[in-house]
Amino acid sequence: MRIEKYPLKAESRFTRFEFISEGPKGEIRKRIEFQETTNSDVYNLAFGDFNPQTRGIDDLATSDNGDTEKVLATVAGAVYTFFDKYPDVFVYATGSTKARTRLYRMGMTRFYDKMKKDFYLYGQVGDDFVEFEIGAEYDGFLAQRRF
Amino acid sequence: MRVMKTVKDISNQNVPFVTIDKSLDKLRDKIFFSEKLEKANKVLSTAKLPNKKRSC
Repeated sequence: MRIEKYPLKAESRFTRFEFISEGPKGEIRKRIEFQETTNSDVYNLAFGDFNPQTRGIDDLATSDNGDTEKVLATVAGAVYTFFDKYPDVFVYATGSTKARTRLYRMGMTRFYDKMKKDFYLYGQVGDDFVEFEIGAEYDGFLAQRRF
Repeated sequence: MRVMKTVKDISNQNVPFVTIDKSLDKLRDKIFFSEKLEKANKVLSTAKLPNKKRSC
């Protein structure tokens, strides 16, 4: 099945990306970051809306722009691009809220069949990471590129 | 004969169309999601990561 994605702009290290969501609420600038953490093996995935008033990023915003699937597909695409550049690291992701974590889980579930062929996927349960299973609740997620 | 990729083919790829925008490099040192990063670092300080799979 073909899933639409938005075109991405990337900074030259491929750790920061931007794209424009288009829908009934107009154009919304979105930002995706892969942040270095205190563990050099792990990058943190952060994602949110650019707020033109504060010139900051709002990772709590729910833009309801009618394009959730396209947005999630674009974020998944950014993950692929990042791993092409940094194949040996883990990417960790958790939502700012339980609702946002559920949104991430929804994205992983939506693209699971494809992603499981390309990534080792784990769900966070407390301090442990277990193999990701559709339908299970997790505190966060971890991915490693398959070789 | 080379066959040019159609828009259909391109949109079927995993990776969306990516262009480098040098203007984003200016924001390299700005941390936009500091709270998320703090939260991740807190989790990672105690979490037991899975063994990293190695390439053959």
